[in-house]
Amino acid sequence: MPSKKTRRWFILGVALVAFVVLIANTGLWETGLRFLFPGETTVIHPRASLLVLVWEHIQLVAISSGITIILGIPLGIWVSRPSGRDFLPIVTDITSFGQTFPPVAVLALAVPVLGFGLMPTIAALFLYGLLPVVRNTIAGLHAVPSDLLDAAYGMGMSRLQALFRVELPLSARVILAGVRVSVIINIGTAMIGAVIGAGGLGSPIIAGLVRDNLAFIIEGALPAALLAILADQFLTNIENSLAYTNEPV
Amino acid sequence: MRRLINPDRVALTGSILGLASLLLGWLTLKPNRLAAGTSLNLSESLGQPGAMAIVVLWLLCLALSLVKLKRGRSIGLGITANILLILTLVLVGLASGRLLEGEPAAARVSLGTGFWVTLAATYTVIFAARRLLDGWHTWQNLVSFSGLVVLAFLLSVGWLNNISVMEEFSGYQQRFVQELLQHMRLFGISVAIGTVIGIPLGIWATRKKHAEKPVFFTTSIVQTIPSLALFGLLIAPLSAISFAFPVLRDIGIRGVGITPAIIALTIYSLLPVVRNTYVGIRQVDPAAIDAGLGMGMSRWQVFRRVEAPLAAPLVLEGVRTASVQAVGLATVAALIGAGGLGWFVFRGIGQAAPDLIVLGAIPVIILALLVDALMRTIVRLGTPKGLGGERR
Repeated sequence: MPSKKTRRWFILGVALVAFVVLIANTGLWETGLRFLFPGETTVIHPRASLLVLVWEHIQLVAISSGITIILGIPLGIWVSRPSGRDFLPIVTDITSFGQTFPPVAVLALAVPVLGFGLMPTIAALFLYGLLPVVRNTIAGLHAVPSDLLDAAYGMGMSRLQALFRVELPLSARVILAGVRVSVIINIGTAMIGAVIGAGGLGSPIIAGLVRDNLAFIIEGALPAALLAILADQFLTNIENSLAYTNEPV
Repeated sequence: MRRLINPDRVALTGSILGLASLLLGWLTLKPNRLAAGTSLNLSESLGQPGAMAIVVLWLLCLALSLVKLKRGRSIGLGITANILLILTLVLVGLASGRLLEGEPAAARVSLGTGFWVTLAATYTVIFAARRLLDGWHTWQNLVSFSGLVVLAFLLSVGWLNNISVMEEFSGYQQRFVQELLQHMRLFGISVAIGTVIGIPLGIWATRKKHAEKPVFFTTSIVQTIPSLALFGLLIAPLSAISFAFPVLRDIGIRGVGITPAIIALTIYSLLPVVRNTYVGIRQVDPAAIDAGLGMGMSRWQVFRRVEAPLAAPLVLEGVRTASVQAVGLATVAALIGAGGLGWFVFRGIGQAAPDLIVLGAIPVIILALLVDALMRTIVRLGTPKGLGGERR
């Protein structure tokens, strides 16, 4: 009898395959959208196939979230160590203050500084994505009970060993939750990146809004919604499959 | 000697950042609002004496952040940082007027990276000073807010009117007020509807076991959908409905515009409100409910006089999250013709006019911060006495 965990992964796998089949099948979209919008002359966005658009979108999010994770988690760890503790208040202050900033505004402000295209979008996604990752890393590490740490040191672990074998495993779920929030926000904000020329699933929607073509809008919106839901479920599954739980209150 | 030196690392970082910012471009002189323009360094921008004064003040900050800080010196650090901030603003205003003298009317002066990095650096120093002054509230507030007050004053007397963003503003003044009000309408209406629907949904989820899962599943799934996608998905069905029933068109319900915007923003507001209502009611101590029942209260009285007040802070916290989020998402609504401050952002992007983008984006951020501050106050006021201490 498969466990609940295996079943979850199985369902997600099936959903993922179904998603790829759906977006790869241009003929199906063509027929479906023609049926829904008989008045339009073109129903498929001519710039690129749906598969390419989804791939562009995933790349955009993967690059920015990748940099976020590579820099954000170490930053969160550093300010929780004695060597970086002086900076803890200002970092927590910036992360909570910065989360009040709307992601769209951050993206918009990247344009005057960095111009149009891929770079400002990646920079804005990276910067905004840092906030939840850093914040959850700090929160996760702080929620580790101090007696567990004492026990680790008592066993003769070095600081580094305690970090990798006690603190990080115990806070992994909280950190991953931060990564998930960051990735989901990035998928949404990357859509708007299409306005400044970053490509991705936002581009058929923008083209549809400009040309008043409802078919283009659906062609971008439906896969984008599915992509975000799948990414969310994927990361939730990873969170749930971690053995330790140590949620901060 | 050693006893005198005890660097505060945050203030030190701020001071070094501030000194580094002096090497960047400060002001950009552009022949018109769309051109790239030439970047000017500190002394070209602010003139020799002004530049010297700023360098000296930053060196003073650096020195103060190195010495052992007692309260008195922390105040000195805070004051120096504020003088720096104010002096920078005053000089930038002066310089923009001087640079535009003799230039054609289309010429613009915009703020460069150096200016923005200096702002970030002064904030870092002010933050450090604020922390060192822990417990001295008057000084803390003075150090934190005097720069902002002066900024507001300078803006209101028109001192910064020659800066390109402000010139853009004066060209769009009426439109700005109109879109600002539209923005507030968009998020205000949606959060209000979201709260009115969300609180009963949250309560329902606590009362009926079978309601819990579907309520959370739907609201959290919807929350992950990108805003632009949700707006897009609403347009087609709404325009179909409005074509089928012309009455709806007459009252303004159409595929694009304010209708899909408000529906989408309401949907996004649901999750924070529902989740916090649920958690808020669940975390009420069962002993408190028992006590209420034991006092002879009816089930309804227990809800109204025990559960509701005890859950109120968390529920309001949910409304706060929803509001801040809605301020940001309402910006995107401009793309589907609902107006709001996003109008400036996307028009600026369309025209490749950076100042117009800034004119939309900065007010959105300020609005989000104000709404956040306002809602925090409401949360505090809504917290029953005797409960506030534990939660914060």
